[in-house]
Amino acid sequence: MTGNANLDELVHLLVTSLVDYPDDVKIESKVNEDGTLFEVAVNSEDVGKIIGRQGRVIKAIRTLVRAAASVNGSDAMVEVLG
Amino acid sequence: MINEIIKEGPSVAEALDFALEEMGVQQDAVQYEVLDEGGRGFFGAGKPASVRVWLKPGEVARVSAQLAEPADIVLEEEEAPLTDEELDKIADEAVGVVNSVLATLGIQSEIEEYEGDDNEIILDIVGDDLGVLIGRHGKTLDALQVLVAAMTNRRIGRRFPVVVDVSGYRYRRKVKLEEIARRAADRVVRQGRPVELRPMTSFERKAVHVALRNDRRVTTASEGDEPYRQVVVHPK
Repeated sequence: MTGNANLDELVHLLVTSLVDYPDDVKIESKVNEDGTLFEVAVNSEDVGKIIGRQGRVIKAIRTLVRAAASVNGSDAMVEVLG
Repeated sequence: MINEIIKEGPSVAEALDFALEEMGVQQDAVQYEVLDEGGRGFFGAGKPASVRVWLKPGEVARVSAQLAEPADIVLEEEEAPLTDEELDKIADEAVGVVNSVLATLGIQSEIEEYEGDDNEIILDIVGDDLGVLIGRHGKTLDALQVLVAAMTNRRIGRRFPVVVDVSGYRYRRKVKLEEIARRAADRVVRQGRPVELRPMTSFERKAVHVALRNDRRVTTASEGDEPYRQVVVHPK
């Protein structure tokens, strides 16, 4: 393993790759002592794609982003603003 | 089918997520109201948020029709077999997707491509120190799998089975699970009663179901709620 995980890029890549309207994606990150909280806003038509059937996609995004954060010795959470 | 549900979660979005998951629908099928915004806790601390979620009137009939089909197993549609050229193109796209994700993780690895027993494309990320990509019980790998498959399918504009592995982890795991499944089936037959396996991820459970699909002595079922959902092997 070389280098550090870039959480902003990871969240951006995952979200924009899964939606129909990548230009409408807005991601805000808030850092506090627990880690980084990513608040993701997408076009209302894309919300279902980011959450997925039975929450499968958003869960996978959270798991991968948390794993990436752990590489940096931190934690992260991703929320979809509905 | 659930028409209406009240759910709590660390945040409104998550409470809504939980509700959607339990209802088995996507957000565009429901309306909801926020009952409680919850406390200011960050990672689940403080007062939980609470939402009431209900199916949009027009969705009730549609969803009940959908639920008649098993949700766990996605059957691939029968399509004309792909040419080697098309397969290569899909594999290239999939490798591109995996590489783009790995780049953001700061990981540089070789990706070995090969074809699985069911014509699926298997991409094995090979390297040292890749445990972070596997996670506990393979959970991170399962997440990577879901995302790479979704991203690749979008890029190629069709569904094609792409399996992501890390240094052969999934393959070794599959062999192990097949052995666990066979032993459980033998025990079921010997003892004449159901045997519960330990809680497993959905990918692990699927491997067990598939391993015993052709065993005429037993049937299998997933029982219980996540994260404790487990396969129970029943005598036929």
